[in-house]
Amino acid sequence: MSLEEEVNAVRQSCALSRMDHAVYLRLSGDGAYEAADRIFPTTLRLRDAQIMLTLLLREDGRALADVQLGREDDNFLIVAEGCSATELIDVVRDRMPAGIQVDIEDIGAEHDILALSGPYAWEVMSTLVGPEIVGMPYGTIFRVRGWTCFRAGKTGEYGYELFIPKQATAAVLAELQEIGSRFELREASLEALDRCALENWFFNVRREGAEDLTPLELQLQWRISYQKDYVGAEAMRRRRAHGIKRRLTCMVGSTPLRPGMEVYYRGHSVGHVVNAEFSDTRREWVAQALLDTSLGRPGIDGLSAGSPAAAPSLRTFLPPVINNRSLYVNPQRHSFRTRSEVQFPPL
Amino acid sequence: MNANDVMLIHDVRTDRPTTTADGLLGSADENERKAEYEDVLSRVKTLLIEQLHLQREPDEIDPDSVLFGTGLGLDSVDAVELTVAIETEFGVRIPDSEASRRIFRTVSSVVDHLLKIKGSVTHVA
Repeated sequence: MSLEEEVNAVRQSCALSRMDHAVYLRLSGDGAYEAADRIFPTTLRLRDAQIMLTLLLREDGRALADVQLGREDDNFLIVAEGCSATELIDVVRDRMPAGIQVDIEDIGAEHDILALSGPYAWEVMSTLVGPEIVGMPYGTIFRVRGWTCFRAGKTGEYGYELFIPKQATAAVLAELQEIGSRFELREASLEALDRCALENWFFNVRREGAEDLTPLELQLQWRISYQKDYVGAEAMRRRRAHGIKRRLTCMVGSTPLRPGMEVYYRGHSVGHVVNAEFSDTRREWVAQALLDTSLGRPGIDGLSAGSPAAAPSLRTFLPPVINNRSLYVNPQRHSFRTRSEVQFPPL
Repeated sequence: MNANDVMLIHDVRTDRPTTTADGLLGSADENERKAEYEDVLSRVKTLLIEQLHLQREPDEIDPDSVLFGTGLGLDSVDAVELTVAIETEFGVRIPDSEASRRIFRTVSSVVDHLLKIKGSVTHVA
C-alpha cells in the first residue's frame, strides 16, 4: 500500500498503527506525584484519568523526548517518543528527587501500543470494546477489557491508543482486521503518521525535535513552566530573557522542499526548512520553516527556497493545513456506512 | 532604520550572517498588516490572561498554541467566556457552529479570523 493510501485512510476512514517507537513507563508509589513534578517541566495539574502533553528537556533546553503524561489513580503513565526505554528509565532515575519511594515499571516491555486514527476510528473502537468509549473526550484515559486506553493522537482525527498485553496482541489484531473490513481499515506506517502530524502541526520529536531548537522556537512554551526547577529550566529562562530571532512557522507552496533548504524573501535568507512533506490532500508542499519572527504570521506571499534567485512560490500559512473530517463527523449522527449520504466540507 | 535597510544578524544554526525580515517588509501595506496582526495578537493574549485568568505572561503564549484540552488547558466553560470576551472586545459575532471549532483552535486562528473580518473589528473599550 502506498503512503498516499495510508494517509488517505487516516483522513477518510480509519487507520491502525503499531506504536513500536514509543516507550511506556509507569511511576507508582507514595512519591510518584513529587517525582513527576520534579522530572517534567510542565505545571503538573492532572486529575485522575487525564493526559497532558509535555516534554523532557536536555540541560540546554532542547527536546529529549515528546511525552504524554497520564494520571491513573495515584500513578503516572509516561508514553514517550524520541528515546529508548533504557534511556528514559535512566533519565527518570537521574532526575528523581532523593529519598522518595517510587517504582518505575517498563510497561512497554510487556505491552504493545496499537493506535487507531481517523474520522471513523470511534466506530471501530466502539465495535471492538463497546459504545461507552464514544463520549470519551480527547486527553483522557479509560479502561476497557482490562486494557488501558488513551483517547489521544497526533493526526487531528479521532484517535485512540490501546496498551495491549503482548500475549493478546495477535488476537486483538485479528479482531481489528475482522472489524476493520467493514470500515476500510488500513495499516498506517510511522511515516504516514508523521505526514499527518505535520499537516496538523503536531510536534514531531524525530524531525523538528532533532534540530537545535528549544520550546521557544518550537512554539511549545505551553508545555513547560518558567516557575519551577527541572533539567533545562535555567537554559529556558536564559533563552527567554535573551529573546528569539526565529520561530517555527508553517509554510506551503509548489516548490519541492526538503529539510535544510534556505528560505528567501526578496532575495535575502530569512530562515531554513526544518521539516517538509508533499501533502496529497492539498496537492502542494507543506513545511515547517525556522523563519525570522517578523515573518511568523500567516498570509505572507513571495517566499522562495533553494536559492536567492528561485521564483517565489511559497507562503506562510495558518496551521493545520487541512480541514479534518473528524471536526464534522458526529458519532451521534453519522456512521461510516452512511458516510456517502452526508455532504462534508472538503478536506 | 530606513524601511529598505536590512539588519544583519547571525543565523543561530549556521552562524552565518543573515537578515531579519523587518527591513524587508518595505511597503506601507505590509508594515500595516504586520502591525495589525501584532495588535490583535496582543489583545487576544491580554483577554486570555485577564478575562480567562490564564497563568501565563504574554510572551509565553505562542501564536500556534492550541487553546483547549491538552494545549493551554481551556475547557468548555472557558470557550463560552472567551467567545463573550472576544465579541465584547472586538465588537464582532463569533459564529455558533462547527466553524467556531476551527476559529478557536489556536491563538493564531482566533487572530486570523478577527483580521479576516477586520472591517468589523473596533476598539470597543
